[in-house]
Amino acid sequence: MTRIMRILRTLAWEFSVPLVLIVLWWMLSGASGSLYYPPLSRILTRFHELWLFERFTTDALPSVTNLAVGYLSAATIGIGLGVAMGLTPWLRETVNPAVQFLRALPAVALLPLAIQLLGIGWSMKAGVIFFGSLWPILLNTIDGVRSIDPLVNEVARSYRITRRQQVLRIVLPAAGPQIFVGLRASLSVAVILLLASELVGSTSGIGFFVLQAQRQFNITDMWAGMVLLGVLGYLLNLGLQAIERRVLSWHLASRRKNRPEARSQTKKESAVD
Amino acid sequence: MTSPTSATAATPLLSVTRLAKSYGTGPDRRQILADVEFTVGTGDFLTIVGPSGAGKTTLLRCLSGLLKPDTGDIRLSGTPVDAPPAGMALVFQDYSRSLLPWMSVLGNVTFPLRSKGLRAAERESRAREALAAVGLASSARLYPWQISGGMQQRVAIARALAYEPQILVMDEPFASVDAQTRADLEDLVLDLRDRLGITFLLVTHDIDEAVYLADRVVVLSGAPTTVTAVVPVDLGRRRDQVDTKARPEFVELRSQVYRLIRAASHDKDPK
Repeated sequence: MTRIMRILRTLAWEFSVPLVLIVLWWMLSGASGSLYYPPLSRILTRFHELWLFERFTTDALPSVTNLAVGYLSAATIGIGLGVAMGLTPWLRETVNPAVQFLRALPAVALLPLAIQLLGIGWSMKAGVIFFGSLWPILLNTIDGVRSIDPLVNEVARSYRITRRQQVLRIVLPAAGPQIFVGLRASLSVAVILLLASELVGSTSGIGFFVLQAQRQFNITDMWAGMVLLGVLGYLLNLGLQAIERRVLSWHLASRRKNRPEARSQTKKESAVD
Repeated sequence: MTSPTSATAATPLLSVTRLAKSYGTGPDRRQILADVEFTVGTGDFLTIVGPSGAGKTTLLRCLSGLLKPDTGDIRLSGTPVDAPPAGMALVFQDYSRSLLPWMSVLGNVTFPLRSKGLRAAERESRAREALAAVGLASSARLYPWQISGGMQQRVAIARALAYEPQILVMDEPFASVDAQTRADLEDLVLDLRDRLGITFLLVTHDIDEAVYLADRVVVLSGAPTTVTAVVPVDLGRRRDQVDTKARPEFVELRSQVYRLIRAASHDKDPK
């Protein structure tokens, strides 16, 4: 019973402000005759018609696929290269100047070049998303690996842990919290670049759809597209958070335990229960 | 060249000969270990004690193969130590950093056994045995940050036990726990030595502890460090925190070690 209460309370905290905003939007736009600010009810109707699931496969799915391909390859390469650079001083020192230069380039500035090189297909979009999301993951991974307590490495060495085991069971978990900082930062970059890559020279995708609708004065459709983008970004964040909570459960729990004020707070809360 | 201490055993389990180590170069060069020499026989409990700054940790890192000495020879069962040997397990002072917080207590103990090429079932049974030996059989599923400091150091000891080393090397293992826990852990270590016949090498700055635990105490000078004396401790195998420490022999040994350390640090402190 208390468990259900706790879940309900968490949900209430999570959704109270959005709910108030949505209700306000609904009421204020309810009688709107403006072409540019259609009533929320109509936006939601269009949302339902468009995305569940008439244009889902033609516009939403390609976007999500590009995002997944770009982001996941950035995560793989960023973490892999980051661990290698974090552990190998000469590699870090050789590659670092190039990394510093490339990450200073706004990924959007690469769009024209990417179109030149890869055309306007999915590979260009995934490529731009990859390029933009790589740096936060890479730099945070390097940082996380470098800040591992040297004593932990001595323990590993003294017990003759193999290199492979050391990377998988010591380096990755130890750098995990910092890696997730990078993953979170990259996710928002990835969503921005998803949109940007579809606004320039594109024939499908949510960004393309929104731009197209605006140009054709289908303002309600434009709003529906924007709502989808918002929902998409929100769900992606939620998904990443769920993964983080699973992977870093030890970290979150040990941090909770080591913060006395947090402990007393939870005690107070359970007393209220 | 023959070692002067080689007379103590035909082939000592661990031998340290003419060990020297310095840090830095040029005018910044600091000689830490000048000439350190001792041996540990199988079944021995050897403690190393010295004034602070005597390079105890440097010595330990050298003889465990973690740090390369400038000169000198370290052998475990006659084999030169130039990398961490499979026959040695280390217990570090700082248990809160030496245990891996993302692994359970059991995971921490089984993890090093992977490099021994043991199957998962055997790793687990060995680890459970070791945890039982240190009195933590029921804490296997907990995480290091969920248990007390004394218990964490027990886990670190269990990890070393499960590794089944020829020699168990401890670097000030009880320096960060409270007095009562410290006494408990000292007795645990003596008990393990009695039951399992493990060879121990323990570094400490605490003279009481050094005498209480040891068969022989190696007294170091201040840096640049040499071995000032090796004091045999003839207090028998049965030791007791109250009775042993009240014995006149114990008090005399403690004073002797204390005088040696004080003399050594005066000699080396002309500035």
